[in-house]
Amino acid sequence: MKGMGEKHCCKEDLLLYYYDELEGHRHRELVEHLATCADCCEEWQRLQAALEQVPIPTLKLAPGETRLPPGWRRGRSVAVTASCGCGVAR
Amino acid sequence: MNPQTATAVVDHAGSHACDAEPAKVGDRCEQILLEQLRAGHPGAFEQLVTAQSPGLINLAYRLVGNRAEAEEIAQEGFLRLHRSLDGFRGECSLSSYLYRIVSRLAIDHLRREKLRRKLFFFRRHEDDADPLEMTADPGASPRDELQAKETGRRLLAALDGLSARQKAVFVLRHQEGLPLKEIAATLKLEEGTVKAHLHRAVRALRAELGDLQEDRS
Repeated sequence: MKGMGEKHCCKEDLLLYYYDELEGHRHRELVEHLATCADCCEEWQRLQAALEQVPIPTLKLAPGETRLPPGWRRGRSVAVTASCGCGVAR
Repeated sequence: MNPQTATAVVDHAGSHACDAEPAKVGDRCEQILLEQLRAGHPGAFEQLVTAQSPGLINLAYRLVGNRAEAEEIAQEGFLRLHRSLDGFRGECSLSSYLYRIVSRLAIDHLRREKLRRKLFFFRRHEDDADPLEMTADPGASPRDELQAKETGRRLLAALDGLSARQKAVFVLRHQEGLPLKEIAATLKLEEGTVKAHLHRAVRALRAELGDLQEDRS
């Protein structure tokens, strides 16, 4: 990211910055650049807004849905256990 | 659930270990749990399943988008761990190991599913739960809620259009919060490849939102 004062920052770096994965001097340079470049600052805000809209689907599981199927034993045939018709969650 | 945080599921292991430093406690509890699992200790596997199921089922669900399939994948993950316990050398935590197994199973599933859709124009069941019902903001107005759902639907559809690996990288980073290094280990990829997949996935999502400008860099 040399000469970033004159150039706009790269989108990949902005993405890594969003996920807190940009390290060392690249992180420092990007922060400094964002403080002075209106275009990149706008792009940064658009990126944040876009990613915040991505839903995170989360299943609510009842206690009974996170138990082992009845009859599970260490050493028991996996095929037998798998074929008992019970999911982990049932 | 963050697999980086080893979950101490060994309540029955005695309290001595829990007086030490947190990191060491986690390691010690993990070691005890592993020994108990290998010895077939009653309740050890059940405790592992109870502790890890919600995170693993949700991980699989975010990847494959179907609850029943997600539960099957999580179950298969536990079965595979069970089968490989004797060979597990503890190079990562049990939860990370399970995350790796389930992520790879989900990727294989997605690939098979895509192929099946290509071959048979396979459609998902109409009665599948709407994943967006689970992310709705209870404080939003009906109009905002509708708009957010529509956007969310488009974004999830855009995620479905990604390759299995791109989708996995995005889900693991954005929705599961795994560091890129851990994702690389989970998917057996180079970190640079993971970054490239993430970049492409986000670019596709932003294109769907229509907010992507021409690359300037």
